[in-house]
Amino acid sequence: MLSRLTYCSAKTEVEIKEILGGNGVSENLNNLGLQIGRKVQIVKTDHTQGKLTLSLTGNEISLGNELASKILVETNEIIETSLNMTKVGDVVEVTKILAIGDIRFRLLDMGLVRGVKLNILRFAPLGDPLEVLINGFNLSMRMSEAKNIKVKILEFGKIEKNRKWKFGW
Amino acid sequence: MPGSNEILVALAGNPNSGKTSLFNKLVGANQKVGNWSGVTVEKYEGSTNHRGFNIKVIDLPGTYSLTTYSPEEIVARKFLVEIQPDVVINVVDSSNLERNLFLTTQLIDIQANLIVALNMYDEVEDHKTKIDVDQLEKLIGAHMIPTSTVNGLGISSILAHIVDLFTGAISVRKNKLVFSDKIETIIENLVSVLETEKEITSQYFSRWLAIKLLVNDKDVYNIVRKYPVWIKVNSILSKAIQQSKTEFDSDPEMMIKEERHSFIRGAIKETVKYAPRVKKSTTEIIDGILINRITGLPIFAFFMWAIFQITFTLGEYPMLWLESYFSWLGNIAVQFIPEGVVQSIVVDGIIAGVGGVLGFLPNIMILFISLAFLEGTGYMARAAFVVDKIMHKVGLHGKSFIPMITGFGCSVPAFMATRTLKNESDRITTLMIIPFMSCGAKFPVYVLIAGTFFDRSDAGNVLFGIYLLGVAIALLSAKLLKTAFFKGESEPFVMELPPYRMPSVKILFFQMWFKAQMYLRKAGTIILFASILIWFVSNYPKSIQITEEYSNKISTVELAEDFSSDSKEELIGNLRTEEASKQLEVSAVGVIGKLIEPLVQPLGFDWRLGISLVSGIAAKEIVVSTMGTLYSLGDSDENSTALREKLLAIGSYNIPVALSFMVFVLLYIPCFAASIVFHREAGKIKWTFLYIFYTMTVAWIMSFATYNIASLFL
Repeated sequence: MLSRLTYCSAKTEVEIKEILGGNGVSENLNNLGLQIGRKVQIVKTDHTQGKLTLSLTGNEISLGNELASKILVETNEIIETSLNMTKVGDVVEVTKILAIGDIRFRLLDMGLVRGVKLNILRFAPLGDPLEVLINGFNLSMRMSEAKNIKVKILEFGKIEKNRKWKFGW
Repeated sequence: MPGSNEILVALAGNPNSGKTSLFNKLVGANQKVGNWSGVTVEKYEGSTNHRGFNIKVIDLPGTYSLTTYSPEEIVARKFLVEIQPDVVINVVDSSNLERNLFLTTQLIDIQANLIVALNMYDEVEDHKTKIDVDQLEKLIGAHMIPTSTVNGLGISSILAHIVDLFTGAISVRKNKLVFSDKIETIIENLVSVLETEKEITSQYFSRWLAIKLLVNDKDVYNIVRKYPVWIKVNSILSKAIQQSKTEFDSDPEMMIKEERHSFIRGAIKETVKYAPRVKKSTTEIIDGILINRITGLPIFAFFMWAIFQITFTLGEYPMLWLESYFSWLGNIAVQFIPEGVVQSIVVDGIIAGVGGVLGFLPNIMILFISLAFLEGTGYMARAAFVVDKIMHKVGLHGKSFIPMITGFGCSVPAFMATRTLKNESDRITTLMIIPFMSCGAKFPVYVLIAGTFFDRSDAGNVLFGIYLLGVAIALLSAKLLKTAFFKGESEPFVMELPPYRMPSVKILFFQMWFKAQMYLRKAGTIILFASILIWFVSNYPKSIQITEEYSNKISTVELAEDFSSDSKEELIGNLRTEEASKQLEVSAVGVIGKLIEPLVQPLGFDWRLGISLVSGIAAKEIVVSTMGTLYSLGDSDENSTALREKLLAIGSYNIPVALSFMVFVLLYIPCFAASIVFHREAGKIKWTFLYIFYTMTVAWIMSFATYNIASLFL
């Protein structure tokens, strides 16, 4: 299935299908040898440092997650992401709710059930909380609450993060 | 109840569904606000007449569902299930049917006599959305009436339907939401077990209980658990949970809620035709500016600054007007009442007291109308959204920010503003730390002390440092209190960001007026009583010796022949001030001040500073004037050079003392009025005790530290 590079696990092989972002990003990645059609191996992932290591044609390169998240790859793995890992512009479908207690009641009552579609609208200026469009209204929640919602990405947001002066959507 | 001509109607619906506007349209000015017993949730009730029937309307708090985990949901559910009003009007935001109808299906479950008001219908028409109301009625199973408080659509129809439903002219549509076979089987099993217990079925609908048991409703569990049938019920529930895990990798609660949502979605698909969305909605455009990554925080800071300015600068004018009105009253009293105890009690006790109470009113009213405006437009949710990350780091909620900022002006409205925090632990924590946001009344004290002991450039920095210290202590305290008393009880942030709307000015005024009334009724009376009490302890006991001594001295001056009347006046004035100072020393306040001297000595204070601090418990503004009196200087304020010189002249007062004094004033218990409002908002006496203990302890420790550390370096 199609997935962001950053969602894949270590020791898997993936094929680069698309690069999200403007020309600058494409050029950057192309110069590193990461082009559409290339197959790469993910050597290891480092979530604390926010980077991953790839191997292609014998060389190893290290990529920060910000850049790596713009690479869409085809993988045999079944990818299950959580809501807090999505990007602005993504359209996702909820697959599982792992939250328990009051938060669970709240989420279910607001319509966050399995199968519901969400549009990721934005992240707050400080990065947390996030805002989604669900069933025609806008819902916000903390990243820690979003972590407990597993989703399947239906469409990848093509919006570049550092768009200047576009009314951020 | 049927038979009489009194109809009890409850309004239930999501927040932001226009329920309050509909309530106002139905009852107009015939309304009053109180409190639901035991919780800090406001209760709005009103009445109206239609066709000879007296209709009493209760506006229930806005809820997304009837699950009981927030005070609002508990209040609403309790009222609907236990009181069982004659008619329930479910106010629905017609542009948001999917989420709103979730509550509707639950209301149908409890077999309420339901009328659904498809509210904000004008927006539906604006968006060119088409709703087949007849078909929707049939599918969902309830009467539906399009309404709009903007153009008056449907209001009279609602009233007519209320009466008709009550008299039986029309009947409730008996449609119930039918779940999938698997769920229905489990429900049937539970219902047959529950029906064997007559006591339960006489009070509650068994189908509703069954559904609630399956969705893990705590309250219903507690009800059924008391009966012997619980054993059978529990085994059915456990089996159901097992089954759904193995067969569907889910649980009954999830399945029921999913089925509810898909039922609603199906009904909407059949009956609602949305016009294609051509351009961005106004809300999207505004949000693009107000909460985008770059401008979000600065804009938020601007709005906070604006509220603050409006409240305290605009509030200046009515405050000054009130002040002058009361001093005019005081002068009249002095003229008409002969000098003595009565005059003193009327002027210094009652008039000063009432003046003090009413003095808060302009600030409260302006603050609340600003907050109501921000809340009504929908910006409040955005504000919490923007600032939540910082607040959450110390265990607070995004919504804590505004009450805290308000605290910089005055604690009284700040305490009242914590009502927006639904979760008790968030609310109590915020209440406890507001006092550390240095209030406006403390400012003159800082100006006096910093201005006296530091030169101009340093004084400004010292002042800033004090305010910063307050904020730091507030944030640290939040963390401390949360871990000590409220481990892991944060309110989920899951929150709707409603579309921007223009709130009705009439409603804003009503809400502000009710808050003002509440303040006057509850806090006002006690503050007045407290003011008289404080007057009493500041003036008594009086020493007859001193009175006689000064009376003689004054007569001597009056009778002396070799003084001009001007210099006589001056001398007498000085004598009177000296007398006041000595009397203050022997009054109850003074005695207390001297008694606590050993306690404040380690902080560098002497008995005069001690008394000034004690007087500050009554009201912080009094600290400076008390100091003026104690140093025998008559009418002094913070800019008085005489007072400054006097302070500098006292050998034991130096910079460490100055710093330590300001720190103490910053942190110790707020004024009496604020404490009373705190108690009312916190609700339980144990919080008030904690608040007193905590502020005093923190003040003492920080003051002690400041004095001793400063003494080492300066």
